[in-house]
Amino acid sequence: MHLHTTTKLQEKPAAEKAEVTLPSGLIGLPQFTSFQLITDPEITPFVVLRHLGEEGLDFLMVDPFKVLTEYNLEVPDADAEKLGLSASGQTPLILNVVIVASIDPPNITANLMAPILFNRETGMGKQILLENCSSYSAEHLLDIHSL
Amino acid sequence: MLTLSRKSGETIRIGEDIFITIKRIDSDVVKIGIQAPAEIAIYREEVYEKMKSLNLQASSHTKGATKRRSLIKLLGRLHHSDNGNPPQSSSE
Repeated sequence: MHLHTTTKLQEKPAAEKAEVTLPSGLIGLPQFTSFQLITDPEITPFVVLRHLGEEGLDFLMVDPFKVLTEYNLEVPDADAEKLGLSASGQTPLILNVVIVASIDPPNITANLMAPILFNRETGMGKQILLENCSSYSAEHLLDIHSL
Repeated sequence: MLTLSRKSGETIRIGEDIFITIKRIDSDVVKIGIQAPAEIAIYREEVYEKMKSLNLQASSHTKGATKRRSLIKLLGRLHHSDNGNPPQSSSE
């Protein structure tokens, strides 16, 4: 028997999974509150928000700053307070991602109007309609080559 | 639907702690002030519907594995074209 030498055990970096809670659910989907946030090196810069429910729905998300470097989030004070995010908005505490609505090239779009912000320490998150949402598109076309 | 007439500057109270005030009336635009507890989310209806439809579209009831595979394929293609190398043939 000849084993092909290029057959190698691929050392895949493991995907990291973290339990996260969105107490108010997603906008329009308030029943979706418990999720697993999956960071998989193979699909970077995308991350997956997996609903912990029977259906096993996955929401694909992307770091908005990879999409638009000058992305600027104006978060309502009440939301920032609820998430325990300091007014100075120190980034190490915050993970923020936007939902990708379509992954069919060339129409890959992300919702930059309402990102999801997570407090990394508490695992609490919320989809927030930005105060400056009118500056952004809810169907921002991703330039996949620049990600 | 309950319909009330209000003049500029007048307020409507809903329950104990929600107040809606007519701030200004300009021909076909009305400025409305809303005071409500922080836990009550307030959206323009069409924006809410848009966000909801995009969220639904994003979930799209696909099993994660399928989505993941198509993403890996897509990203794989990109990385190859970044390197200027032709895509590696795979035994897949």
